[in-house]
Amino acid sequence: MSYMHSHAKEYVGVSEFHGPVSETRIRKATKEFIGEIYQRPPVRSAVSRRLRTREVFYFDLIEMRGRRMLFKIGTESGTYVRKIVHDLGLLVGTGAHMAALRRTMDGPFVEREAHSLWDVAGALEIYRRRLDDYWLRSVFLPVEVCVSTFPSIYVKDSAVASLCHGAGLAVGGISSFEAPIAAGDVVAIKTLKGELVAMGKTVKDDSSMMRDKSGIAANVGRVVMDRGLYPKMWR
Amino acid sequence: MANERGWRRPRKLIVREESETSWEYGCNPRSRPVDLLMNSASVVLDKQLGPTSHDVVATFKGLTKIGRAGHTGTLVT
Repeated sequence: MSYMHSHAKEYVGVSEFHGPVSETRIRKATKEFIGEIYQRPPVRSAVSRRLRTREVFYFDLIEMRGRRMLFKIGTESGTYVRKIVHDLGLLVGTGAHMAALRRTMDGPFVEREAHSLWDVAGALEIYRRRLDDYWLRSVFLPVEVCVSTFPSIYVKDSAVASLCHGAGLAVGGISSFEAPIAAGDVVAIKTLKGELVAMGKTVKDDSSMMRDKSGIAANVGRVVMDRGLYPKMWR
Repeated sequence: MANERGWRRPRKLIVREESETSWEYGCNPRSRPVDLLMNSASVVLDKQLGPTSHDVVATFKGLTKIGRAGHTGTLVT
């Protein structure tokens, strides 16, 4: 099960219109793409070509130069921006294609925190030579960062080892959690120190987690923490 | 604009039962030993036009001498 591909994305791109079109007309047309939209994945795509809905959070025109438009778009995972640009071209009547696209945000990761391969090489070299881990830690982010978009459930020390072995999370093992949580949500199960133990899927919502005296609150999916880091405390 | 960003929903911490954690094992993720950190870290890479994602992952693996590296950033346009 992959949790990392489901994040919302932001892109900056260039769209080229196939004829003269006014900025106000384009601005008006971009509004039509905000919210739930229908999309059929393109012929050359990695997924089945069934009509599906995707959410566009925002679609902003940044600058026009001739027939070219610089734009920024925030979308749900799995939205084809190339398709939106094509459809925008149809809507304004000239036709359009995408000339360039760059992802500027992916879940918790943003462009300004991106590093080049040179930064990676430098950070590793400094660490190897001087055992100074400052740069290494600024480039290599702990796994907790990439699941920070999911709500957390913090568990007692006594529950950690059994979770590492794949056992379900019992309500009795929960210390605190981030509301709102619905049944069926993907959650990050963490220790009280904030370390990721495993990803899980809830079977109870936040109010039953508070109310119930026993039972399983979440099933464990991928276990991230090494077994043996926390001691076994069950009998 | 902030409200339109569906992935930045505010969350509230609710305590079910106060509990203490022992510092004899585990640690704060930010001070995790480097060898453990490198087992499951993420790196945000600025991919330039030209080299493919596959090229970048290959170079990255060479640099880190890590056996296992992948990417989530395939730009599906």
